[in-house]
Amino acid sequence: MAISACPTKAQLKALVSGSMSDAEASGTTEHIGGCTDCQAALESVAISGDSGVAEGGTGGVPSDVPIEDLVGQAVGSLPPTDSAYWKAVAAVSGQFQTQDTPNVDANDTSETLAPSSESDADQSSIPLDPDNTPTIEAASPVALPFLKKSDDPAYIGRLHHFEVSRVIGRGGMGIVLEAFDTHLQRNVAIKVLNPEYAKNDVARQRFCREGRAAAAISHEHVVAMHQVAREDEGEVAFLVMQYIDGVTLEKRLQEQKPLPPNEAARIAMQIAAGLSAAHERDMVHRDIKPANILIERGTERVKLTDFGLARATDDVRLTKTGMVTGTPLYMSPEQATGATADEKSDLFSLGAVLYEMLTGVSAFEAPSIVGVMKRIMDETPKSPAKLNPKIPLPLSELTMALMDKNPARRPESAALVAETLAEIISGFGAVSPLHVPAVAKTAGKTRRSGSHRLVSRNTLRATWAVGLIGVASLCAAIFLATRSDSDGAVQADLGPSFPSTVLAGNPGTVWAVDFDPSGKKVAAAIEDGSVRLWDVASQKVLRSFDAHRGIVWMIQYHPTEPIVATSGNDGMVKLWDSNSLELLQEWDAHSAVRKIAFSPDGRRIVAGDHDGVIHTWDIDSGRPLASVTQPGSIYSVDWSPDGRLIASVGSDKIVRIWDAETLETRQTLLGHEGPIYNVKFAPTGTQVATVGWGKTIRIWDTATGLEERQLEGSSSDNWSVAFCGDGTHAVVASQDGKCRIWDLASGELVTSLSGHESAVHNVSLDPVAHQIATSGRDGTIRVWDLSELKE
Amino acid sequence: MTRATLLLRLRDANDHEAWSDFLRDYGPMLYRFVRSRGLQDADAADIVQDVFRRVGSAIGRLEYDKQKGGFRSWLFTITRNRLYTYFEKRKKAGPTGNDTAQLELLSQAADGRNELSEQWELEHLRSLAAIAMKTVEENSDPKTWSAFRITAVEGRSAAEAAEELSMSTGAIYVAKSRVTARLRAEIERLEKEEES
Repeated sequence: MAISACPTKAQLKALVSGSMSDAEASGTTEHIGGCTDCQAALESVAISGDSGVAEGGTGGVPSDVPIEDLVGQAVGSLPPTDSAYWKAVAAVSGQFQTQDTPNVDANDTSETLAPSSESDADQSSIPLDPDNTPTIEAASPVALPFLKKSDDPAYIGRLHHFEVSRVIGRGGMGIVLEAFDTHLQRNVAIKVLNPEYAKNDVARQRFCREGRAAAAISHEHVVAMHQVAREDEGEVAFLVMQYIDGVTLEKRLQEQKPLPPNEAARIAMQIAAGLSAAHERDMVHRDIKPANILIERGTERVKLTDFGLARATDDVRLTKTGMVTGTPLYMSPEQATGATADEKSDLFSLGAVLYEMLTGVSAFEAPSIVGVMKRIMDETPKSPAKLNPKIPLPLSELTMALMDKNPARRPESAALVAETLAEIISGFGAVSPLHVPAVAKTAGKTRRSGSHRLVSRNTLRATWAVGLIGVASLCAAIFLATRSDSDGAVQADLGPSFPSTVLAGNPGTVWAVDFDPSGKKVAAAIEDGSVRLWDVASQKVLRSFDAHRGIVWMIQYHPTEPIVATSGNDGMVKLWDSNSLELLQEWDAHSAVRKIAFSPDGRRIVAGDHDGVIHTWDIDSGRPLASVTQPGSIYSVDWSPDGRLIASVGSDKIVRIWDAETLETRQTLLGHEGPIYNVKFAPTGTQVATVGWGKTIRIWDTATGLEERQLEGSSSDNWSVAFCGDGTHAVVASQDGKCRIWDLASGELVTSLSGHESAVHNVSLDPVAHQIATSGRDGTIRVWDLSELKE
Repeated sequence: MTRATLLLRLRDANDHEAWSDFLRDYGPMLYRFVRSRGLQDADAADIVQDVFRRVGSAIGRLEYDKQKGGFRSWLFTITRNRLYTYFEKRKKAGPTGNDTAQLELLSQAADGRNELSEQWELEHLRSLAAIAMKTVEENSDPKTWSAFRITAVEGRSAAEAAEELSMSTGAIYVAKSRVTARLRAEIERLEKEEES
């Protein structure tokens, strides 16, 4: 007779220890047969040692370990018969054996070491001679207690209407199975939440919720989520997903590292495309890593999986151990510090994955989790191009931009990243339409770069009036701003209050920008070798043409003629007709030229190259005038306003002042602690300003050779410096993404212009109106309108 | 042979009997433990072999009485160090996420409870359970034992066992729990013996 009420714990104890009366035991037993609660309670009494069979003591079996986990076939078995383990054991014992009784047959030794057949009935083919091991595929049953027996022997079990054919993998979160959906007649992948997590309600709910959210994403680069389900009786929660026949990127990288740059870019592009679809729905992945990126066999298509699931497991990991485990290698700095992960975190992780694909090394590898996190937060890895010059600079730059510590400075969106990568890939050659993913819409339309083409037939209206008046009025405006600041009416950081026109979508870092003489257009030197001419007011590209092989480092308008000069990484210095864009003149410096400068009369040009050579050329005749070599590489040169001096700076940390005619040394100015990136003569007087490695801006007097002033306030290295027309203010572009204006009389920081997402490389002043143009690594040019300051 | 005796005898590299006992008792758990760190069969076997050799050369220096936690924790230290070296080497060849995670675990304090030490203890319990099963099986009614074997070892359902053994489902559960309790007691006994 079955008793209806559940037995107490004491009764269960008595039942297990056999101290219960037969009659009572029989009733209780019958009850247990039909009561799943009691079945579980009984097992827990038995394993916990509360049953009185054993004297309770310290140690022993933890009560939360199910007996199946100790004796199950899969867990406690001996190494498989074909395991190298048996050879290892034989080798060790053979070693002792030979020392002991050298004449004993090795076979005897191994026999005693290998398990005898009676000790484990399930291991039917234990080799007697380990060196002659039959290579029988050892049956490796996996404990899948949630599976029901399948009717079809071809399957290992059944879950709902899914016939499970094999275990694909095991991860921290659970087991992934390949199964056949008998209702819809298709293959699926089933992810079963680790029972350990399933016990945690919060984790299970999250798992299901994130699964449902992921089901809303439909994209060719996201593994489709079909169904979120729970096993009726047990505590098994599982997700049914599209089955992808392929390998994970983790596996791919184990086989081949690094990947060819075009392949890495393609994979990253497709990841970015998949992310853009999720981000559009406000879904953040949170755990972008090679193990979550699948590559489909045959098509090589990339598929993202495990959207948002990291969140479900974090709950458990945190509550269980007090810290997040797992690999932080691809974690963003904000995740490492425990802040909420957002879309920009996914972009960081994508950057870390791309970095590993390109370089073959993890960007933040360290011997410990804490070490990795510290590196993620504090260190910037060497750029991929630095590690391998064959990696195209745009790709390298993008990787580094993705891994910017500051989320605000990373590329704007996954969609933009996908588009940028598509452009980079098109540089490798034709892209199969199969590989160009659908991308969630971006704010701005992408403009693809290509070979020489006219974007607009509008020809340049050459208004070559030299606008020194304009520059002077800009200075006046700044002066007024300073005044109002001292009155307390204006905040010190005026940055956000200045309107700027953004010229975005350039195909890579814009290394230099210059206003045309009208002040209505800017010309941009871009790292993909092209030059773009933008109309500021309409924000349209008027012209775009390929100027150099490799990076265009500098672009500068001639002081009086309709000529524009460019210099590039290919060592060429070129003069173009700024109306027709005809090439007028070119010189070969034989190594990369990062900076050129016209003489004030416009008859000569100076260039400093990577090998430390300064060249001066006559523009009309094309004739070389003089040259001199200095140690290291030259990063910048400038011509003094009176035409008599040339300044050069570079990697050797010394500012050199030369006679412009003879290139004889006039001064060497010492003080910089690192490479100097830019040098600029003041428009009047004898001052020169230099910026570079380190935060300090230095002003020197070339007449005395003494340092006159240091300007502090920048929070990082500075790339470029310019003077306003009357020389009262200096404008500095910084690595920290800001452009700052200093009052040279007081040495005070007047304002800083914020807006660029990453390093600002160049700054140019509009000769006519109150405008400053800045360009930078984020591929944008910003034209700042400072005219409001006049009032 | 008691554990203490075994350890004393292991000091003699030529004591074949002691060594084969040692390999029998600790080899499989070492192998399983090393595999649980994500190593392939061949690599795991190499490491197990290496650990055995180190035990052979270092056992003379083990002061058994003073070593807190006994021989097992000493063996754990050796194994952990060996694994650390392995992952370090792999990391240089080209690291994976697992390598980093493992190195982190391996470098945590030896006495701290973490996934690594828990896995180690679990593998040890599994080895003890395998020994205990023999004793318990000999002392159990065959039907009771079968109920346990089908459900706990083979992982089949209680209903199946009930049908196969012509018992009620409730009786299967009771039988399983009785054997479980006995096994637990036996494992505890073996553990005390090992530590004594």
